[in-house]
Amino acid sequence: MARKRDRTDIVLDMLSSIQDKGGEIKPTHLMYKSNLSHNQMNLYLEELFQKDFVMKISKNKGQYLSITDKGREFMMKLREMKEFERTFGLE
Amino acid sequence: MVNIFNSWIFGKDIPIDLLSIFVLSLIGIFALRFYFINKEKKSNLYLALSFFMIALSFAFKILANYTAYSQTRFFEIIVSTFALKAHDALYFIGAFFYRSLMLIGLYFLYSIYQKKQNKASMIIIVFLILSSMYFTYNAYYIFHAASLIFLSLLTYEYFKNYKANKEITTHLLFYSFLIISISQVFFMFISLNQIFYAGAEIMQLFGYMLLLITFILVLKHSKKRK
Repeated sequence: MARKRDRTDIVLDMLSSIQDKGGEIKPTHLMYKSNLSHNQMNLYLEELFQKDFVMKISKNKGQYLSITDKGREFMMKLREMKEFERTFGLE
Repeated sequence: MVNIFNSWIFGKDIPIDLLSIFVLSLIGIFALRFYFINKEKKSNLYLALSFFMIALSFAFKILANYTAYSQTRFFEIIVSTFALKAHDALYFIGAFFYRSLMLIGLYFLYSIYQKKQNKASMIIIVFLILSSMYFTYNAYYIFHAASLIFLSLLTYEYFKNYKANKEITTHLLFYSFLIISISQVFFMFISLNQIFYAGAEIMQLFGYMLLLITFILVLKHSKKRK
């Protein structure tokens, strides 16, 4: 049975989804890709904006979410953490 | 302990213990960093504390062995009773903290993998470890037998993790703990022949080197994983 995602799993999924789309993504796409409800996504996004991991940009008359360098760095740290926890059986 | 202190082995084990301290501290520092990323997850903090404790125990091992060695050297010249007593005390402190910190560190590490952690029973076990290490000061094999039990249980945990998650890093982690466990069997027989001490130290070296390789691969794989 798949393990329930914790907070860091969700943040990692969100940042990875933006990164996989070339660093920019539409909010609705992010919602589907990270398997979150609209309200849940907004709560997490609020935190990501506060920490300067993600920023809003306007492009082609639409709103996009863009990952920052700080966000990319944090995503790498989270990946290291997940790999470490998987190896030592701490998940 | 054995008369390893005036043999060819002595002195060569210090770099092995220093490497062990380096590997354990490195993993401990990263585990602590991960705990600060997600403070809700305490297992990274406990893993860091366990690894730091085991690293510190190796520092006391170096102190104990170095003291014993210098005492052996002192016998070659005339020394005062006071100097000998000071050496004895230093050796006792080094050996006691080496053994106690190692066992408590291994016990804490093992506790991470137990679903139910009862604080009261943890305190009792820590007390029992400290008292047994105090009263079995001359029976060094008791310490190695206890280490062997904890390490075997941890090796089994890492084997189960490898079975559930077949990756090169989980495989290597299992092997590194297996080798470190086997080294304890060699340590138990060091009074028979000093070759057992050399064998145990070499196995410890391989075990911790494999642990270092595992950790490097963890960092490398995390960059590739999506």
